[in-house]
Amino acid sequence: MATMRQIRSRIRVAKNIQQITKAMKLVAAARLRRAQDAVAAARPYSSSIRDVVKSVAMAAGTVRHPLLRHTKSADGKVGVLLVAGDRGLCGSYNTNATRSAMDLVRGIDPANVRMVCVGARGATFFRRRGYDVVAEYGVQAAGTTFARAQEVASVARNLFETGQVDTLHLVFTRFISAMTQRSEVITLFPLEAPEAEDAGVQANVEFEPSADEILETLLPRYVDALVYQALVESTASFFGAQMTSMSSATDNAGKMISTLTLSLNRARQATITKEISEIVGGAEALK
Amino acid sequence: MANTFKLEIVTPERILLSDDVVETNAPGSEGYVGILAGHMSLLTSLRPGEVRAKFPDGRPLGRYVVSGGFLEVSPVKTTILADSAEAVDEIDLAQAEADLAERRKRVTELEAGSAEHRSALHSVAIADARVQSVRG
Repeated sequence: MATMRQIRSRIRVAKNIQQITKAMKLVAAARLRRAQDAVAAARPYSSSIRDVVKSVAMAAGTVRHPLLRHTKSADGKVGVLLVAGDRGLCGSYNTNATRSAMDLVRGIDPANVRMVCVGARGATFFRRRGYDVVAEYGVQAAGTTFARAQEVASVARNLFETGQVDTLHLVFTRFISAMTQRSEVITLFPLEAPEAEDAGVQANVEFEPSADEILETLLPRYVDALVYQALVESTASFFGAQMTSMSSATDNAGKMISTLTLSLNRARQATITKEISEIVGGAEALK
Repeated sequence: MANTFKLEIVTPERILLSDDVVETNAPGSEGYVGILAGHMSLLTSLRPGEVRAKFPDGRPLGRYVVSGGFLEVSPVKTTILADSAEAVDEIDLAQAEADLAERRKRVTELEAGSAEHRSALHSVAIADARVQSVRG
């Protein structure tokens, strides 16, 4: 059985850890709130630009644009834009995202895969396994800027336009709630223009300049919006996951402290009992 | 007020304005466009410049700078999808001028015709639009 000194030091360690995880939980909660606001703020733009793409696609009839072109080279080169975290201590957030990305490229020769990574965790994972990480970006924990999303998107677009990849997938973590996040894969290139629904058809829309020319600038911007949405949602997911996991770490540390305190008390009681019986025994012997 | 319509200025990061207006003017890529209530459906791309919005209730003219984007007029509402946008009052003139000078300098350093040169020219246009709008 552990001595009282050992138990005391283990309690001290557990308390220190609890303090740290508690602080991290609070920080994550504060950051999560901001990240959630950013997710909410990003929604109107994405849904508006989606509607605009729809109405242009409808007006232009058959949409032809380099970003929509399906190509097939012999060796089937694939690109993945992976959005993960810079840090750990966030439950299975990084694991889930990297696993989704891994599922996409499993069975493909690493030489035919191009990775673009946001977040050091994903980049390290794939670099170590011999994949070509074309570009790596850090996570903007204080809030993702649209400029950053455009930068990331343009790297991905360049890979597709120069024919370095035939398809490019975007892996990110959808923020559902603080407790639930789900990693998702969408195919960024070739881009699939949102399907025009029959309901709410706007018949006579005037375009200035022509619909095709508008599409020229609109589609890249639509991609930027998709990437921005992915970055913002992933950041919120990261803090959600971190808050949840740090919260359960704090609870676990609390449980450990109470178990250890119990055994500390038992050990102390045992020593006292032993000493009493020794004294009593000694007194008996003197009679 | 019957002759108003809903105007939204949306950027990826926030909604800058969502209000009923009487008239708006925006820097379309083919020239300034003025929108009144009941305008036909229109979709145009925007270049960097100033967006003005006239409110029905005597509030001062709303003035905003957009760095390009799109303007969509539909029967329901008018939406400006801007890459970035800010209210003119929020701009610091000295800062904006310094910004413009620096960007102008960068353009001269780049090789004409390259992609970097084009994007630098675009950023000059944005900085210029900000300065112009503050000076009125």
